[in-house]
Amino acid sequence: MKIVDSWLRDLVALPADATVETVADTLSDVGLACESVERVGATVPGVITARVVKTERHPDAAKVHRVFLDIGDGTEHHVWCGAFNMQPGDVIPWATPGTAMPDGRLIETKPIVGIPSEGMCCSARELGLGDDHSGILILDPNTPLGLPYGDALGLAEETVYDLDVLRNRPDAYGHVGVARDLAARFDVPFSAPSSRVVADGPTRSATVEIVDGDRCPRFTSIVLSGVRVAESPDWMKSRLSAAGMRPINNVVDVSNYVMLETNQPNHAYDFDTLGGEGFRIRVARDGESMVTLDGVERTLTADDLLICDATDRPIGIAGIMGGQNTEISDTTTVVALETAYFEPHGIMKSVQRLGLRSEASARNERGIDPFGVETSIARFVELLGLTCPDLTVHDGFVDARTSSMPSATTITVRSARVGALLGREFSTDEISALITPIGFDCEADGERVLVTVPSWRPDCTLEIDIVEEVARLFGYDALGKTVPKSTVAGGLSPIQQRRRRVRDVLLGLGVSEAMPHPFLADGDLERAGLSTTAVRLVNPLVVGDDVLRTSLRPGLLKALAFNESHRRSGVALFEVGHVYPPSDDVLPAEFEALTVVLAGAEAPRAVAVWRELASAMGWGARLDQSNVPTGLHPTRSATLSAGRDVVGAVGEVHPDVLDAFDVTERVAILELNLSILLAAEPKVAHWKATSRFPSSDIDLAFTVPSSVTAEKVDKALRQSAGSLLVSLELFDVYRTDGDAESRSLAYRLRLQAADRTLTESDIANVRDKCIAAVTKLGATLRA
Amino acid sequence: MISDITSARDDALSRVAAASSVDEIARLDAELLGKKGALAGLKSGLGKLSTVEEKKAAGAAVNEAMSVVEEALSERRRNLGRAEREVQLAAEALDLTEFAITPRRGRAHIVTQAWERLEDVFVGLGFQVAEGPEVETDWYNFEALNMPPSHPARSMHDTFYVDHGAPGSTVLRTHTSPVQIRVMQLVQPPIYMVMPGRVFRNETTDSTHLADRRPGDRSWHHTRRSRRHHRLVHQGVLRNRLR
Repeated sequence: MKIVDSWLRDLVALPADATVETVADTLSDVGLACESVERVGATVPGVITARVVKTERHPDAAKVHRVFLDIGDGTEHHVWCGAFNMQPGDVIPWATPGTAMPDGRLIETKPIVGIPSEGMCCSARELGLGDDHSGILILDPNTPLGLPYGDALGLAEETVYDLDVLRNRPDAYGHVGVARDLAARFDVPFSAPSSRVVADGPTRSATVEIVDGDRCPRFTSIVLSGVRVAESPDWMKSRLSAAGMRPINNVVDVSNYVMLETNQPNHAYDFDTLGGEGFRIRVARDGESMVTLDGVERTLTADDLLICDATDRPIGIAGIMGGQNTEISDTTTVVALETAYFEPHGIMKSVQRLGLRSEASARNERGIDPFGVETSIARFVELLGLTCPDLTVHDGFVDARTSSMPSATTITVRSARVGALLGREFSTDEISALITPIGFDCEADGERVLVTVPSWRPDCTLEIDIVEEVARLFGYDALGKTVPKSTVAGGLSPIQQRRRRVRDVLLGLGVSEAMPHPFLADGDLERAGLSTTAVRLVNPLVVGDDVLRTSLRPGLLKALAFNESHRRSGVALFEVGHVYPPSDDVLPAEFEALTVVLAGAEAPRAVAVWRELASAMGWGARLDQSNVPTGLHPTRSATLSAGRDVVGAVGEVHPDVLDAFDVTERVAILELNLSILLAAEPKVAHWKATSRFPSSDIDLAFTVPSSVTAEKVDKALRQSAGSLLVSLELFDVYRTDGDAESRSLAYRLRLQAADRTLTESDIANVRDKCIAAVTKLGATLRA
Repeated sequence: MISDITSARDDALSRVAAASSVDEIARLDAELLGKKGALAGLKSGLGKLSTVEEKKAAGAAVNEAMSVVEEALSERRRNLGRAEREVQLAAEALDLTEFAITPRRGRAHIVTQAWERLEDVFVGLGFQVAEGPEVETDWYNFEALNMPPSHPARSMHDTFYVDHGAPGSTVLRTHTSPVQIRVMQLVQPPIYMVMPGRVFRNETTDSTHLADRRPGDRSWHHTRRSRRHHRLVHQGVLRNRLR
């Protein structure tokens, strides 16, 4: 919300020493967080208006031409200029020599092909007047010459506070609401605009018929004549521009100005085009359509509220945007002014469905002051009178109200509760003194205060809301800080500690962490070889990016493709994040996943990462190559299962999937379900003394059929060697060319006893048992 | 006899002096002082001498000769060893600024780095860390937090709705406050917990906003006994402790 400093100071007599910084800090402290302070409309000193007398090309300078300028004092100036959009007679802004431009350039007299160039012709962007840099800024041809261009353009410097107004402060969308808070905090007078409307013309009314009263609790109309469409005063244009609205003409500008000031949207209709000289407010018929002010034809439903004229012709979508058919034109002299209060939730639903937002709808959907109508009309008349000296306010003000008008909320506030929540005692008197200035009517009742909420604060419905008001106005700074003394032991849960350890292990293995976007595009899952059954967003930010990921795989593959396209091969990435598979439950079957992708690596690297993680974390799982998840390489991948749970998969990404993601390197992958793995109590590692007795090694090489996994051989060897086995290492795998049936696996077993030196027969015994067990698997011992 | 001993000794000393490597010294050690060496041979011939005096004199001479040779061997071994080590050291010289292949650690995402630091600050203050689902029910995300259906924050403008269950019943959490509700349903006070987490707002992406956010100020919650505590946690802690 942009709040203009000069405007604010009109409404509240801020102390003379209240600087912009003080005001900004105070706004933040009363809960209207000031995100930035901007100065707009600042002009560049030294830039004056000048008329182009003639332009001249020079044979030696093709990219520029000479522009001769008249600055109204009879002197002649010429500038070399690279823009060709001006004609003799045009008035342009001219930076005189010595001007310091906003971008830091100092304008000097410099020769080009031997002829000095005095100063510079300026584009709009160079003067900070917008983004246009396509040519030199051309001003009104009647502009006096030799004037600072700011004076010629009616620019005034304005200071703007950009406030982050929370949803619970609908009133702070207007300058009045912000001023009211500041006045209370600075303890200075607040001059609320008057609500007195004096009718000085004969009776002339626009009738009002409210059909759907629950959607439109109040609708008023007043007729004004003697309107002359003209330009607005400079000060008003400059404030509107500073607040982010484009000045259009005096009627539209006043309408906007009043809204930004009082927070009350209003709409002026050309009375002469208002059929039947009246308004009819009803919900739309399904399929009914109308063209809004922005020139778009809108198709409506029975959820949308329409303003129609008395002949039932739609002329506006209530609270959101007027229609083109009754728009104010240059010939308008009589207007019917609509000022109304609509039921906010209905407006919000219409805005969502139509995808149509306006400054008016933003205010109406948050809730405006149902009793602010009179002030808004009075202000409208007062301001329009400045440019329309013949303005007449006609008698015959129509104020239609329905039974849905909100009634005042009264809240009982316990002073003890305020004290408990704010950490400081507040008496009933203090509470009253703090919130009365912002319009809360207080009546003390023992240790309680009966608070009547002002009509512009529909957000206050509970005691806690009043407590917040007390805190806000007392000042969060003044409340002070105390260190909360926790009575429990702080710390990370075992799961959180384990998650950090998983990260540490992966970082140590040289894998970097990535955090891709959690929303996937249509087709991402399919490209990744995964089931396309997924939960979708109803209202995605980007059309098509609406799939909630069921796997981290697509995001990481996109990251690898991105890296590859930037000539970074061999990238190793992991992500720890939630995935959201569908379920029939109340919520999707969300769980925490870990995926590791290793570009330029084959499946064994992923297995190595798994083994290292498993050993660090005390995890165990079986590799089941007979059960390969979809999207993974069918002969180089395995499911990881622990007990009955599938805890993940390891291997390589299917080449089809890599093609689909435009990844040309092989990609080793490890996918784990961290929700299961982190929750498991890890096996505790035990310390064992190093034996004092010597160890002995046995080397055994077997020719093993391809159908027998190394894991099986490993298991057989471990069982046979029993407790004497200290370590088992598969130190060589050898395949003979052309032999797909078997391969040679060579193992080194280290044997050692804790209590004695092993004898030859001990070792021979183990060796025989090992050979027998492995032979039983179908392998043969190699000589 | 004595002259044989002297000549054997001198012969041995000259061979030790001529040795050019530690390996050669090892061979000489075995040859000169071993059982088959000249001095050993002379020693075993002592018995053939006739008088006790002769035996005594010759025995002393042999022992002395052997210890002289032994000393010469070990000195020569030391000198040669030192020289050889120096040659080895010179040959092993490396330019440490030439590194072709280096093992590389992985890098934690910058969000994780900030996240863990924030968690640690609160852990230091005696807080525990609570977590919850990112896809939430409307009830936990809004209703239970006193945000009735007409609350403006529920407009599509801010909230991502998820097509799951009844229309409008499921959202991507817009804040981590639903975790507060979940915690309060499970844990008896006192509760000192922070709820960091990913939250989602349907906002246009720019350099400072992504629709999917990681914890910012709005995502840190804790049960508060008073507003003063809240302020401390928001400002004091984050500002002062994260320097």
